[in-house]
Amino acid sequence: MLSIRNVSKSYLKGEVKAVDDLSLEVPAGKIFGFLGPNGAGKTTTIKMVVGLLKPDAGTILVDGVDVAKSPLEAKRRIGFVPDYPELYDKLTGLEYLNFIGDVFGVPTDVRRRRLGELLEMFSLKDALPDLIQSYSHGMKQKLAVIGAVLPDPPLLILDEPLTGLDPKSSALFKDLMRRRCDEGKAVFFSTHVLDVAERVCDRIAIINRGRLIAEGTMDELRASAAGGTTLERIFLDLTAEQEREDGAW
Amino acid sequence: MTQFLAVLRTSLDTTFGLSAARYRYIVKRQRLWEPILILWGLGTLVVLFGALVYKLAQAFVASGAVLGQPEVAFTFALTTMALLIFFFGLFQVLSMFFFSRDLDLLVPLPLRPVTIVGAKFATILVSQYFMAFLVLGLTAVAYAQVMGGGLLYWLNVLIVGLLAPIIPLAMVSVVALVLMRFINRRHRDLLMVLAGLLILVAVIAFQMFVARVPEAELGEYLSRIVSGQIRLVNLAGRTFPPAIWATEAITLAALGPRLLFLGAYAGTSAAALWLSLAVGERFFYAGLIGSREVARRRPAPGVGEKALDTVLARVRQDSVIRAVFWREWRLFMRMPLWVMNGLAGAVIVPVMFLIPALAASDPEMAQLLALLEGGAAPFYVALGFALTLVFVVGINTTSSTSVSREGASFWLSKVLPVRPEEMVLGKLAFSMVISAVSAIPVTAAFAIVAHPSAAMLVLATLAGLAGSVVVHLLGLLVDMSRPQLDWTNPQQAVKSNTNVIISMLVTAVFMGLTVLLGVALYGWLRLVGEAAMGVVLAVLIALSVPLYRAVVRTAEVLYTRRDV
Repeated sequence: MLSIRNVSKSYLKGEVKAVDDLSLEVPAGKIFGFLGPNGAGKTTTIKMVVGLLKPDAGTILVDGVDVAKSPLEAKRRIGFVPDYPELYDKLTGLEYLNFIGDVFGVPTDVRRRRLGELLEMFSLKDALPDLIQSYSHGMKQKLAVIGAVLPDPPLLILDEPLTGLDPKSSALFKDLMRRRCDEGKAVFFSTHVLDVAERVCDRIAIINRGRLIAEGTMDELRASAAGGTTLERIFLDLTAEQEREDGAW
Repeated sequence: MTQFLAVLRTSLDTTFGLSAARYRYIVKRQRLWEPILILWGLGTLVVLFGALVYKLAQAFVASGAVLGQPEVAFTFALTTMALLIFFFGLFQVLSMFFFSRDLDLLVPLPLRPVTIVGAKFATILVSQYFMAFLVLGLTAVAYAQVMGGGLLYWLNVLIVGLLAPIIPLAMVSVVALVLMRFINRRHRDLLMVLAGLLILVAVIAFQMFVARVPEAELGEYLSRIVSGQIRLVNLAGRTFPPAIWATEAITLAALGPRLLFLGAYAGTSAAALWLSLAVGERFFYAGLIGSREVARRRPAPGVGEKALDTVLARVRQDSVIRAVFWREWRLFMRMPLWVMNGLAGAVIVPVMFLIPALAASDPEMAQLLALLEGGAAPFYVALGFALTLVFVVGINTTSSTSVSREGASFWLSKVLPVRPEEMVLGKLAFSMVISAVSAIPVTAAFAIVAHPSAAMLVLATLAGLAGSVVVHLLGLLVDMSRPQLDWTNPQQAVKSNTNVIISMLVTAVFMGLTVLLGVALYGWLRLVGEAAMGVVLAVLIALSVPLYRAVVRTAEVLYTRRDV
């Protein structure tokens, strides 16, 4: 569903290499966790996939569509929620969702049905006629999630999606991700919450200093790590090991 | 004091983007063409505007000198400056005091309200000094050329220049602080626009009725002015009396009275500043909390389900272009600071054209009408009307800030599957609706004043609208090439946006070329007026086609290839 091939990205004319020859495959029907310490290159990678940044090298395919060659076709296949969604404060929740629906061409009846379900699920129906500026951070996050799911795209990309969500919404959201994957769609999300990644994800990739340092199912990661049993242990061991190697080198 | 200086330093830094500019242009040495272009644009504006101010000041000094009162030039300069600050400053104050992003960081700090208000006030003051010293300095030069000026003269000009923006700015600060404290929270956005319009109307009305000399007494007035019984300075400074004291402080011959007037001016400025800070200490936090606290409606128990059905019934699919148009419309119309900046020019300026046109009983207007009716060149009158429309569009900021206004939400436009053509057409349609609103009073004024033929009226209106399309496309081209997304308060997105200045300069060049085209067609090729206007219209339409393509290409780069 998502194919990242030899992608690199530098800032400040090559002084800072944020992503270095990264390759990943996110299969359909899977929840794919993308982990890494602060500044590892997670958000840069996500921004390149959704079209906010242009890769210096490499190819990104979404559902077989090249993001660089057919950006609009690729965007039609993606629902994206950033970590701190800056939405249009002066629109009401309903106006925002209608705007997203219009842009993605969601027909009226489908839009009504999906919104009915999603608004009920995330308990946001009462706030819909209000301006987004009156929403709490969590409510904005929920609205961004509903906006991302409304067009029913095959790939959901989420940057720290659980930040700001209350426990109930968080649980509902995890169910929603699972249901979407059961329907053959895919979810690619970055997180710092390792126990969530461990429980929710079918596959996990760990990135550090812009490079992929591990990738696989939890069992595969456990097998490859020396003695690590929890994802936290594996994560700490792998990142520390890479930093030692980089330092020695 | 240390706290005040720290807040002031940060406020100046974020408002003028000093650290960001230093990092980009000096440390990293990136996009060095930008400051060069900005300096060139600003320099051109300063030279053009400065030349206009200097000519006006010279005219005032010369006319005043004939009546033995050349100092009236200072009173006019200071009064006009105060009125401009009073109107435009209100929105700058509201934006800085209540909508800056740094307030979320400042308010939780152990700072007194007066510290924040004082630092914000000082920041606005600094931004006003550029205009204050340009206007006052050139007036002082024009005056000194005729009357001479010693060291004390220039020293007093400097002191008056430093004090000049304080009183009007303090007055608008008090208005803004009280407005935000007591205005109804639910309809605050609408009320702010209405309050702004009310203040503008009050300023214009005050100016028209207080400063107006009754026609019947005109002869007597003139003879009393010539004989020195009535001082022009007092007449000009009626709207803003401190301008009279400042004028006396700069121009009186005797040292004693001069210092006395300077003391009165400085004392009044200090009192006004103290009042605004005292009101700030008392009302700032209450007004600020009110501006952030947007109450959400709570449904009555048991009506949730029904309410959802009602809400969902309003969900309807629309085209992408219309969706972009309505997004632009709602985001713009719900930000009072943008409405006043964008619509003040688009609606108020044309209405100001219409009012004198309607006052046909006025002798001066009757003279003008006679001149226009008997004039040999109705084509030039029509071209002037069409260009007036283009000018009104040129000073409205809707297209030249179209992308910049999206600010931190711009990521949404980048990730959504909207074709560049759809984005451009949606944005252009919004700007053209505002232009169409401007066209109504300007067209009415043209029809009433110039009595054009029906064909000329239609052709000139269409040419004005076609010119508006060109100007909006130029504005979009500039803003899409270098969107200013990092604004810290909404006022910055439109008021301190260099794209507005660049677009205005480009518009001025475009208008000049259109005049040349008109002269070539009518003056040199001797075409009939209607035919010449038809050719102008055709050229403008033809020009908009490649321009539209260029904007779409720029949009494609912005939305699909450029890093954000």
